[in-house]
Amino acid sequence: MKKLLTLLMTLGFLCSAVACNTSAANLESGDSTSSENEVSSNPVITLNAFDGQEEMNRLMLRGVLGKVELNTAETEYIKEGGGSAKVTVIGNPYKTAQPYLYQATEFFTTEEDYSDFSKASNVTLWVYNGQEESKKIGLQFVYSAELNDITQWYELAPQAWTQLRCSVDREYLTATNGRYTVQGINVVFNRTNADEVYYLDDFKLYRTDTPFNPISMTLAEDEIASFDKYWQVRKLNVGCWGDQSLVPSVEWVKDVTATGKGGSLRVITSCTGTADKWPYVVVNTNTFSMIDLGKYEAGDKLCFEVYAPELNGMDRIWMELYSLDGMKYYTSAPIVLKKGAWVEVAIDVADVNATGRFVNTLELRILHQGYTGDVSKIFYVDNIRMERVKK
Amino acid sequence: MKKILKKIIALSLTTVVGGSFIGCSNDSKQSNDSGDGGKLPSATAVWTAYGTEKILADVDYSARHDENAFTIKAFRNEYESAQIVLSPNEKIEKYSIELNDLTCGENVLSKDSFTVYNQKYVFVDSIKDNNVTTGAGYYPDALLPYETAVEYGENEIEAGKNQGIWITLCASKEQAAGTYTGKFTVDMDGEKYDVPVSVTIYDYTLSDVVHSKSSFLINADELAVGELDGTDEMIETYHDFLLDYRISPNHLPGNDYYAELQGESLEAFLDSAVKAAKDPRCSNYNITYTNSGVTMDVNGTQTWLQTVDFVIFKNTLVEMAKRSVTEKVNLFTKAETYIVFLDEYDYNNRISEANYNLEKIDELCKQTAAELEETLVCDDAEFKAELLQDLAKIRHKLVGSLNPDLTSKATMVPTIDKYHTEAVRKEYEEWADSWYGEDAELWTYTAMDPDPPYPTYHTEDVLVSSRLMGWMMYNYNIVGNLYWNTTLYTYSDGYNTMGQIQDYYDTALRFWRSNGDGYLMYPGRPYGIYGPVGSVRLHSIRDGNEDYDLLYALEEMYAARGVSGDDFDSVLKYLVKDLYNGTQCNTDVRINELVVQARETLAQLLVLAEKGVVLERAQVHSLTGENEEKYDVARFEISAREGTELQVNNTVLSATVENGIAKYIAEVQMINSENTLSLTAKTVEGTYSLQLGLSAGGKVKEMRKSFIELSSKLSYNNVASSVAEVDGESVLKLNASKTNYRADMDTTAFAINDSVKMITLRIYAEADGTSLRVLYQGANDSALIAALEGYELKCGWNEIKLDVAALNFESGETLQKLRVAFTASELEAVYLADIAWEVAL
Repeated sequence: MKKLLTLLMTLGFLCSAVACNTSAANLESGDSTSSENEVSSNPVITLNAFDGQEEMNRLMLRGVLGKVELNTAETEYIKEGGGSAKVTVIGNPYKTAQPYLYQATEFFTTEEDYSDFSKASNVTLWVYNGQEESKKIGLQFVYSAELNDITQWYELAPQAWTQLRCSVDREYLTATNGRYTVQGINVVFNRTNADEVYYLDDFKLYRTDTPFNPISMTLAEDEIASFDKYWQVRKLNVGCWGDQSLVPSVEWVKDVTATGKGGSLRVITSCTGTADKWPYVVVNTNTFSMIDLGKYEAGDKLCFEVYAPELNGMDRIWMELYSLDGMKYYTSAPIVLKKGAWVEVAIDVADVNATGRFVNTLELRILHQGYTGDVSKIFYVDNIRMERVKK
Repeated sequence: MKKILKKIIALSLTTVVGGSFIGCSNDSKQSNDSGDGGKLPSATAVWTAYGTEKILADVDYSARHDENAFTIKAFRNEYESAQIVLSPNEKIEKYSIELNDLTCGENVLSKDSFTVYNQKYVFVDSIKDNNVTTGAGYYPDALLPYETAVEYGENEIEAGKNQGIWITLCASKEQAAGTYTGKFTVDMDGEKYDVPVSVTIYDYTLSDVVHSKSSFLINADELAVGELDGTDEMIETYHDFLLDYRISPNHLPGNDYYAELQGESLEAFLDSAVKAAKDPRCSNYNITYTNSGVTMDVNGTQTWLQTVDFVIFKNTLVEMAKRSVTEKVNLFTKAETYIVFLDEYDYNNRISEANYNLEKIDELCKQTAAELEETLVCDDAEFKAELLQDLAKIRHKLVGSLNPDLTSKATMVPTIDKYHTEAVRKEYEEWADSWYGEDAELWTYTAMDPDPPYPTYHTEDVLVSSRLMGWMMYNYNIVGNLYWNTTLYTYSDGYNTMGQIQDYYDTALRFWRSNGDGYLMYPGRPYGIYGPVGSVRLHSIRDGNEDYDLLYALEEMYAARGVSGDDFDSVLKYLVKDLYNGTQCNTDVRINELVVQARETLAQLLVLAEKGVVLERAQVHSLTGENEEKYDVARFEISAREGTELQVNNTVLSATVENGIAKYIAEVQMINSENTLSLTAKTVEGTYSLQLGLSAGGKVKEMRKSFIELSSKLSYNNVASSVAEVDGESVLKLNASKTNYRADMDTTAFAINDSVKMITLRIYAEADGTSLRVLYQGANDSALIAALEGYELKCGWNEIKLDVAALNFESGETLQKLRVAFTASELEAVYLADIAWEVAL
């Protein structure tokens, strides 16, 4: 019976998916719980049917979400199979962290591992919005314990099922050790003052043998990340040391007053943690592998600009540099933000290269401490670049 | 047809005690190889085990299969457990257990007094601890309610595996004392096995009030991961669950350490505090604080320090005072602080932050109390005075060890191994006293470190270890126990947190280096249980906390009779002597039985105290016999209500009576390897007895050799020797040529072996401060081993005692070499007088 339902659902999906991604055709077949990991024989993976507690174990509830229950009784809120996940997002205004639910792509108990997204095309999830008004819900790929992709947001019609469909932009995925690993997917909710109820069902991963071409990326002379190109935002990673519930979200924006320099990066974070928890944004190795840092010398500057629309407790950020050997070899002094003004940061190569590791830079991280206050903080970053004394 | 024999044992308890055998098939089914290196038992067995031990699923215990009587000895209102272990030689599709009421004459112990759990096993693939005797395998931990196990089809057993049924008793406060007998029946695929049961209910009722303090974290974020429920209701369920185990959680439900208390969240905190203040199960709670920070000058550098938000904290204190008045309950009596960001402040080099925060917060408590003296409206002046006094002296816990740079007032929380020696325990006591005087408290914790034989909550450690921590704590005046997490439902490698666990019941290693560390409970959600599922370790911790409260009750009764703390300790030392040494658990294979014996003695002491018989003081003195042999005599001062007849070791004691209290002296010559104070008290209410095991004794002859006499057996480094005279005594003077020097002594001829209790060295020093290190080499040792480190010689005569038992000689092994190594700041001479040891006669 479940297979029949799966087939019917698939037909529905195919009809709606064509406009979005034609490569999704002829995807559905086979048993999604098969241990066979070949795409051709197993193109559709059910990440979670929400039919039993063992599947519920693949979830992690974070950000003081509320609760998630296995629903087998309210059949009208089951899209397929024998159950769904009933999600209650608690509306306590004092619980300010971003609520989300993590779904793993590797199943430890059955030793199934679908975390390699080099052959992933789409992820779908049915969501029932139990509210009387429209709501937004997000999907976010989790690369590792510390690194997340940016969140894709979806509109949910009131008191109706909506299928979220997140295209896997493989060309933007970061390959690590030859794998394009997405270890999990966050389902991200927004908290309001009242409790909200959602039902989730039929979380699926669609796979394809269609090859893909990693996006062509070029940088201008001395550029690290101008954020004038969308891929520069997509290639970023975000994370939070010590608490994933504080992972910031980022957006590519072009409307920040007074930049006049194309796009910028907007960083949005919610702060409820302690000083031991550090949310951050990472310009990673994919960018630094394109830059020859060896041509810069003492006197040259590593520069960028930051902007804060409000101080609001978010008054300082830091910049860190990591080298290929994994060592954090440089931490800046606190960078004090100014309300409504761009602040230029310029750090001499002589300072950052004290340990001789600058040429082997792996990552540049911009961190902010999550200890102050309890409301979302926003700041902007732009034009991360080198400036040479003599060219 | 199955090759197991049905063995219904219908035996009287007498027959059982006589060594009968239950459930073990006589059928000679051939042993199989389990495939993992272990041997399978040759026959299906139903046997029993203590509630203080872990029976692994995949270890062959066939040598114990004749342990057949299910036995529990417990106080009224106390939880106590034992196990029935099923070891089938073929797969069991379904097993069940039927309990029955037990009887003692006319009295009945209802089967409803018991709770049955199915033990779940967690696979430990790699032993992380040193000093454990078990290897990789399936360790029992989670205790799934039996009915749930049946509902989920987990009442099955693989062939060749052990399945433990954990049965916990809690007899009501009204239960009559006595030994109740009867049987429980186990059914394995239709084959029935009767297990004879004996439950002794001691004639004493454990108080509901918990006196040990604790601070065990329920991590709401982690809990939410496992339960998929982070609501206040779920957190409160966990909170209540821990309180039932005599454990006070770190913070009140719904209030994380650093919640910003204002408006609704402040009200929620105050509501929880009122509830906790009134709950006898809760002995203490931490006041929630908010984090902040400050930039200040630290040693000439502008440094950012993390701080408590003192403005919000002060507001919290004021609101607590107001709520205390309106609720007529003192919210400060049980209140403490625990500033978590200062954790392991010494290790994490946060001494400046510790000093700053602790000083400020202590000042703030006092200052707020002074201000409230003027502003707090309260009709009851006495209550107000008590309230503000308690506010002014709120204790502030600091996790870490003593550090000379710590200059602020705190209740120090070091790991349990730090309390191992009396000298260090004294240092911590003196430090605490210097800040808090009579309100001083000692706290401790165990976590990833230390390793066994110190108490741990690690999966591969012996279960009794966590129980013995309660005894040690009481023994050494350690009031509080802190544990960093009870709900680690994710994996952390120490840096990256929140790694996912998808099988909560079969993931032993969740934090870096220690199996079992960070969790004592399991999410009930996978089994449809609202709230946590407990563990054998949690039961064991509760057992230790109950033992603590029983010891507390005993001392309270003794104190009511005027017995001082030191005198109580002189008796207590006999009660605990077989359980641990310092803070290292006794690793004797008989430890489970020794715990039972200690509790039996504790029960006797409690019952006697309730009947008015108190051992007021114990002292040991040495006597010398006609042939110059020495032996010890234990002397007990005992008091009882007038009219009580006391017999000790079959001798009726005479008494002197004063104000209705009869005083007795009892002496026991410690001339046997085992010595006992055997006391019988006849009172108007009945006859009561006590068997108090004393130290091992025997007659000894003291051997003493002067170092001058031994000079041919000495060799030196950086030092020359000469004969000198000190206080009219000829001694060997060591004239050092460097500040580090030593003398080695060949001791082969002395035949010092494990029968010798103590070696005593007499050394004279010209000044304070020379540091002495003593090393030894036994016949089986390949190198010198330190026996004593950093002993500071005082100016004058020093008697240095070496406990030979601590040298761990094997049977027959003798001491080959002894080295005395000195480190001095200046070239000063020391004088070696003699070495003495006692030889058993």
